[in-house]
Amino acid sequence: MKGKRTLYEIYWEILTYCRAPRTFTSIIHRCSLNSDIGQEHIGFLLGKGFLSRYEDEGSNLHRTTDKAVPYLDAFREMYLELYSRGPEFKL
Amino acid sequence: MINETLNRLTGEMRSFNSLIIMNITGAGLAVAMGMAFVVRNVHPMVAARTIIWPEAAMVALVVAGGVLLFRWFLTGVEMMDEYQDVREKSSGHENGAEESATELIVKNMAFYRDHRESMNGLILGSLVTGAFFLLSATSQVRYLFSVLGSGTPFEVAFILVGFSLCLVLGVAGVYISYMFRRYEATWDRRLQESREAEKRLGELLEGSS
Repeated sequence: MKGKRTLYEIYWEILTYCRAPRTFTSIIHRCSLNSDIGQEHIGFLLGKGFLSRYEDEGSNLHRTTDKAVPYLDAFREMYLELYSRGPEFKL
Repeated sequence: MINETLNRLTGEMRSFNSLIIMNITGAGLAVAMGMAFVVRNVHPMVAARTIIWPEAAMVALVVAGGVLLFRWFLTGVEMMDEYQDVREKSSGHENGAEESATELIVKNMAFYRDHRESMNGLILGSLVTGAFFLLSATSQVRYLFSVLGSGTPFEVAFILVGFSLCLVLGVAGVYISYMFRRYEATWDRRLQESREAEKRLGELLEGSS
């Protein structure tokens, strides 16, 4: 995903993408992050326990943990709610 | 419920895409009309090898305006290109429709944050162009009536086409500007509400350590 996103949106994107195990390179590619920023965000999520890192067949993989579920649920609910409220745009 | 949200999102995105296409068409027609005006007025000057006033001043004015019109056109094209990425189907989430809808909302928000500035330019550009063409149409009314009374069918057809084009472009310009403002108002409200959501998400993250 491209464009100006907030930190919380980037975290949401990383966490939903990492529901299946992902390498660091695939995460930064998918989330359009540069290496340093990607490292920072992934480090933060690892620190929070929202992501776990493990090695599998020589690859370092990241996976979203159960601890991230409340964040993902809250994010989804809030965004769906803010979208559903108010008038929609129509030609 | 979630299907309703997805349908609403899809409809909204289709509307915005149509608005961008209308904007590009309007800008393209305006550029074409500007070029036709320049060619029509420069040709006699080239033939006479002299500068004819006030046509030369009008040509300079239209060329200056044409540069802005062309920028307006390019901005629209760029916006359309980038909006195609937003419109691409969601990559498919394990949790299905809810996450696809959330992804689309996040993508639209990111797109809006990126293009808010250029959208203001489009609003101004289409409004000014619309007003210009409406004024131009108004100024042709008297001439139109005089030709209707005494002109040849060819003259009548020619002036009618010119008048209609000006009128359509004028109305389209004002309408496009109004619709972009509505789009801005819709997404400004959502961005405002997302800031409140961010506060709660921040609290959730702080509390989770």
